[in-house]
Amino acid sequence: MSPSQFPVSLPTLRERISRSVSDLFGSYAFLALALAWLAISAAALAHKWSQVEHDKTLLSARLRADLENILAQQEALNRSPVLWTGLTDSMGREAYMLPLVKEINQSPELRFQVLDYLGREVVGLVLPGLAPDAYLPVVSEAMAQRRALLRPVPRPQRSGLLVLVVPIVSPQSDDPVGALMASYDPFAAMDRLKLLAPDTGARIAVGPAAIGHGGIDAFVLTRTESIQLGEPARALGLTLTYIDSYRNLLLALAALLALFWGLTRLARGVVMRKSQKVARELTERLDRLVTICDEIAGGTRTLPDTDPHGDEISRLTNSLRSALVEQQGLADRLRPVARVFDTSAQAILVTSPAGEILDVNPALLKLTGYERAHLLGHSAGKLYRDQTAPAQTTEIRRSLREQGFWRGETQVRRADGQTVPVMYSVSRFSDEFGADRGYVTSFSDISEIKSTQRMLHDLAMRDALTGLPNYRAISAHLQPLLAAESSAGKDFVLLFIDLDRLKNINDSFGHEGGDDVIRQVALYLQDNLPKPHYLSRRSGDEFICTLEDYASFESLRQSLEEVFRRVAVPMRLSSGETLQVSFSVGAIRHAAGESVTLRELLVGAGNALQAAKEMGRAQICWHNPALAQRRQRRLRVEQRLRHAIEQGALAPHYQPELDMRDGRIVAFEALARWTDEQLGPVSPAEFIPVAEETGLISAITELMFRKVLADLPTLRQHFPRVKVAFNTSPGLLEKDGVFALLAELNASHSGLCEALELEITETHLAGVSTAFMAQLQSIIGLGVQVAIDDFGTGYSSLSRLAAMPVHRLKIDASFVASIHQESYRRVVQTILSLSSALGLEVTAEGVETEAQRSALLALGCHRGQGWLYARAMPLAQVLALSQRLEASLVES
Amino acid sequence: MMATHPGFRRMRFLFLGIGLFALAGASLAASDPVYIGFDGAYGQKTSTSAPAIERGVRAAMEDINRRGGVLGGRPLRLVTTDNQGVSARGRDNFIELAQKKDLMAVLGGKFSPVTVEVLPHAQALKLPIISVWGSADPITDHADRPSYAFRLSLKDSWGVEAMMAHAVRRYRAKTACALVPNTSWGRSGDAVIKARAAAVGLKVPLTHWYNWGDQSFAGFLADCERARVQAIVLIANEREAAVLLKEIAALPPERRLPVVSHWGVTGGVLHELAGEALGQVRFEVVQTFSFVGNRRPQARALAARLMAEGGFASEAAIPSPAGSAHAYDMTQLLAMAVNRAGSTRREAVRDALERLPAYDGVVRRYARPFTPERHDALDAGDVLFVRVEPSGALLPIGRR
Repeated sequence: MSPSQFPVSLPTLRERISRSVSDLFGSYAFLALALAWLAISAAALAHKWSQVEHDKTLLSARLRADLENILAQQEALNRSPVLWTGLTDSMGREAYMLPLVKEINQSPELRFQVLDYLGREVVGLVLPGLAPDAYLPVVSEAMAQRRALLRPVPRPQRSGLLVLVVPIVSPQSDDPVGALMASYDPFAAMDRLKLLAPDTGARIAVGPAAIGHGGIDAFVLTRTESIQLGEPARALGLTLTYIDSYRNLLLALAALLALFWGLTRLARGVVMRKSQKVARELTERLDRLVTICDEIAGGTRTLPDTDPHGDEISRLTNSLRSALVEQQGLADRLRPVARVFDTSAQAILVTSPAGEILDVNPALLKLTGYERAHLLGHSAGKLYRDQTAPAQTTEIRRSLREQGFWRGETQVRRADGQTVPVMYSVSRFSDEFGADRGYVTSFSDISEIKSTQRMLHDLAMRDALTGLPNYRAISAHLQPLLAAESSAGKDFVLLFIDLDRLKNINDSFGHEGGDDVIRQVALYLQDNLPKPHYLSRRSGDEFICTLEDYASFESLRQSLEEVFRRVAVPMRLSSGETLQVSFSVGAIRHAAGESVTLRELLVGAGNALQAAKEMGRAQICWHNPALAQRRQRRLRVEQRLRHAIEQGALAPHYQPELDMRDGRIVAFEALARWTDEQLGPVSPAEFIPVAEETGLISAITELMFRKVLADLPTLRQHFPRVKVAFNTSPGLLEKDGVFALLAELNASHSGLCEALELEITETHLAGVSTAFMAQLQSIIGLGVQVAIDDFGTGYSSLSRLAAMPVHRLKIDASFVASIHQESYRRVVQTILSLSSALGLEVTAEGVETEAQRSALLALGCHRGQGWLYARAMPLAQVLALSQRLEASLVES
Repeated sequence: MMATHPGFRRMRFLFLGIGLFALAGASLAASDPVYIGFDGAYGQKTSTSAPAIERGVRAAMEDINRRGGVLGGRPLRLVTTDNQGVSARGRDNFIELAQKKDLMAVLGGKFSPVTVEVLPHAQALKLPIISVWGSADPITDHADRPSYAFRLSLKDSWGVEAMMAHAVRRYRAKTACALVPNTSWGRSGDAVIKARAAAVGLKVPLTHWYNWGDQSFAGFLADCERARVQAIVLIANEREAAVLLKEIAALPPERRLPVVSHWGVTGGVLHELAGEALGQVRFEVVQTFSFVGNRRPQARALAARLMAEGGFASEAAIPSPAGSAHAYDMTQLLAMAVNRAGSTRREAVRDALERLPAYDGVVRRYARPFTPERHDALDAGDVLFVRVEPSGALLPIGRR
C-alpha cells in the first residue's frame, strides 16, 4: 500500500518519535518542577501560617501578662491611703505625689496617671501621653460604673494605646474620689519582642475598636484572639488581631516559578537534539521491514526472512511471517467447510451486516428456484419481502440485536412467486474482535410438516361421526365472539339442539342405527338451519349451532320456530327404514359486548333446552332471565329438599275429613309439609313435582309414612276410629316399598294398619303391573284401605276400576270448585252413582264454601274435606280440635 | 354710658394689663433672693460638720429674712454643694457657684484642703470664700491682695499652739508626739508645732504623717513610748482619731498617753466610731465655742432654736456646735456686709466685710470682725477645750 493512499499525509515515524520523546520529557520536567514548586509553596505557606499562629500566641501571652501586671499594680495603688489623701489634699501634695507617680512611671510604654473624679490629671507630671479627649470618655464610663475598664484608645498619627482605668474609692465616701489610669502601648511592648520588625511586615490590631499598628495591605494572614483579664464578671477584655503579610513570600514563590519555567525551556532544547538521534536509530530497521512488506504485496516475495535480532521489529517481522504461513494453512483447512456449504440439504444464505446477499448454497437455489446471479449482491429481503408479518420481522430484528440469533417458522418466496413455509434459523457472526460481520441464515422446507399439522388439527377439531366441527372447535369458534373488548364480538344466537328420545332409537335400531340417525340429523340440520350457521356436534345427540350475521333477529327467530316446530321429521336410515324424530332446542341470544363466558352461555342454552323438554319436547325454547331464575329456584329447591329429607325436616300435617252432615271428624289426610330454614315454607305444589322428577318422592313418602305411623297412636287416642289417609309415590308401589313398610309396622303395632288408608292417584292405575297389583293386594291384606285420589282427572277404565281392590274414591277438588256449573255437577253425580254401583265410598276434596257443601250433600256426597272446615295442620293443633267441626268460612 | 364701644373697652383692658405687668416686674426685682453658697463635705460618711453649718446659716437667714432681708427687702437664700471632702470637687463646686447671679459669697467647710484648693479661683473669680471651720493657716495667710478669703473659725497658728500649751498645762507634758495628716491641714499644723512648741515649753521629737484611710497607728504609738513622751498632739478627723483611741485604749491604763486633739474630730461622729475607747483615754479637744454653760443670750437663743428644730435633747447634744455658731455669726456678718455694699457685687461685699462695724454674735462680740490686714474673725482668746462624752456631747473643761 503506497503512502499516497492515506487521506492525510502524516509526518514520518521518525519525526513523530523524535517529537514525542522531547514532548514527553518536556512534560515530565514541567510536571516535576510544577509539583516541586507547589510543594515548596504549600510548605512555605504552612510554615508562614504556623509562624503567625506562634507569634500571635506569643503576643497575646505577653499582652495578657503585661495587662495583668498593670491591673494588679493599679489595684494595689488604689488601696493606698496616699492616693486617697492626695486626692482630698490641695496645695503641697506634689511633695509626696510626684515621687509616687515617678516611681510607678518607669517603663516608656506604660504610663500611670492619677486623675481626679472628672478625669483631670492631679499631678502635673509632664509625660508623653494621650490627649484627655481621647481617654476622658473611658474615665467617665469607669467612674459611672464604678469599675475598672480596659479600652483601646487611638492616637493621631501613631499607634493607639490600651487604657486601663480603675476608679479610686476611699473609705470616707461612697463616690470615687478619683481614678488611676494606666495607658499602655502594646505595640511598643511587641516591638521589644522583635516580632514586629519592619522587614517582617507583621502588624497587630487591638480591638473591640481596633487600634492598628502600621498599615494593613493585601496578601495578609489574620489571626484573632480574645483576651480576658481578671474575673469574667469584670469584663476586662479585648481582642488581639495579629496580621502578617505574605506578600514577600508570594514574590519569592513567583520568582521560583519563573526559574523553574526557564529550566524547563532549557531542558526541552537539549532533549530535542537527543531524541532525534534516538528516533533515527529506532526507525532504521523499521524502514527495512516496510520495504519487505512492499515486496510481498508486489508479489516479488512470498515470505520475509526470519529476523534473529529479538527486538520488537524482529518480533513483528517474525509474526508477519507466521501469519502468512498460517493463512496458507487456513486456506487449506477451509476447503472441506466450503464443501459442506455446497452440499448441505439446508438452504444457506450469507448476508452482510446491511443485509446484502454475499453467498448462497445450491440447496437454497434449488428451494427458491433462483439463479445465483439473481441473488448475489441483492438484498436478502428479496426472498421474503412482503411475506412475513411485520410483527415477526420486528421480533426477528429484536432477537438478532439482543441475542444474535433467531429461530422459528416463517415463509420465503420462491422465484415463481409461491411461498414456502420454512424452519428458519438466522444468526449473527462476528470476527474475533466482536465486530459485526454479517448473518448466516439456513432454512429448510417444512411444507410437508405443515400439511400434516393441519390434518392433525382438523382431526382434533372435527367430529368423526358427522364430519361437523366438534365441541372443541365450536369453543374455539365462540371464544373470539365472546370477547367483549374484541372487535370480533358481535350478536349471535346459540342453539342447543337435542334429539328427542335417542335412547329409544338406539334401543330400536341398535347403535349402528343410532349413529346413522345422528349422521342423518346432522345433514338435516345443516340443510335446514338458516344460513350462515356454524353447526357442531357436542356429544351423543346434542348439537350446538351458532347463527351469526343474520339480517333480523325476529325473522331468524321465526325461521327457527318453523324448523323445530315439526313434531316428526322423517329420517331415512341407510338400512332403508324410516323413522320420525323431533328436537328439543334451547336457544340463547348473545348481544355483542355482553360479558358472558362460554360456560354461562351454554348453561343458559341448557336451561332453555331443559325448559323445552319440560314443556313437552319437539319445540324451541328461548332462554330468558325468568327461566333462568326458575331453573335456579328449582335447583335450589332440589338441593334443599335432599337436605331436608336427610334431616327429616318434612313433617306430616293433617287435614280432617268430615261427615258434612254433622261435622264429625271421620278421617285425616296426612299431607307432607316443608318449611326450609333457608327457603322458608315451600309449597307442596313446588317441591312435590321436583321430588317426583328427581326420584326423591320415594324418600319423602317413606319419611312421611314413618312420621304418620309415629303420630298415629296419639291421633287415634284422641279421635278413636278415625282413619288416616296417606299418599305414596308410584316408585314405592312398584318396588314393594310400601308393603315392606306396612309389614314392619304391623309387626310392631298390631292393629294400626286398619287405621290407614293408602291414596293412590288415578294415573298410578294407568300402567299397572302385576307386581303392583300383587303388592296392593298384600297391603289390603294387612287391613289397609285403598283410595283413589284426584278421581276424575285421569282416565280410568271402568273395568280396571272394578277389578281394583279400591275402597274409596276422592273427587278431585276441581270438580268441587266448579260444582255450581251444571256439567260439573253432573260429573260429580255420575261419580257418586258409579261409586254407589261399585260399592265404593266417596269423599269430596277441596270443599271451601257452604254452597259447595250444600250442593255435595244434595247430591248425596256426605264426606268431604277442605278449607271450609280446616286446613292441613300440625299434630299439636289437630289434637286441639273437637270431635265435630263447624264450617268455619263464610262463602267467599 | 350705656353704649361703650367694644374696641375702646379692649384698649382699656390692654392698658390695665401693661400697668399690672410693670408693677409685677418692680416687685419681682425687689424680692430677688440674695444667695450665699456653702460647699460642704455632705458626702463624707462620718462627718456631721456640713449639716451643723447649714443649720447655723439657715437660723441666721431666718432671723435676717424675718427682719426684712437684705438690700431693702431681698431675702437671703442658701445654695449648698457637696464636695465629699475631695478638693477637686470643692474647686469645681466653687466655680459652678460662681456662675450664680446674686450669689455674694461661698462658705467653706471642715476640710481645709478643699478651701485651700479654692483660693486661687476665689481670687481669680473675685468671689469671697469664707471658711467657717477650716483651720489651716494658708486659708488666710497668703500674699494675694486684696484677699477674697476670710475665716470665722479656729486658726492653726493659735489653735495648735493652744493644744500644745494645753498638753503642757493639763498633763505636765514636756515632750509630746504629733500625729498629723498628710495634707495641707497637716502641714499647716506641723508648721505651727515646729514654730511654737518651744515657746510653750514642749518638745515634739516625733511627728508622724498619716494618710486618710490608714488603718493602724500601732507603730506610731510604739515610737511614742520609745520616745517616752507624755502626750500626743493629734491633728485628725473622726475616723483616724477613732483608730488611734481604740489602739490606745487597747493598751494597759498606765501606758495610755493622753491625747490633745485638733477639732476636726468634732466635725463627725467620733463617739460612734470610737465607742467605749472614749471613756478610757484622756482625750480633750480644742474648740472655739460651746453651748454648754454659755451665758451669752445669743448663744442661748440659738441653742434653743437648734434644739427645737433639730430635736436635740440638750445643748450638749447639738452636734458640731462650733460649726453652727460660726455659720450663724458669719451669715449675720455677710448680711451686714451686703447691706453696706448696697448690692450683691462681690468686690463690694468683700470690701464691706473688711469695714464691718462691731457685731455682738453668738460666739463673741466682734469689735471689728475683719480688717484689710486681718481676715480672721476669731483669735486665741476664743480657745477652749472640751471632753467628748460617749454620747457625743462636748463638755467644756475649765473655760479660760
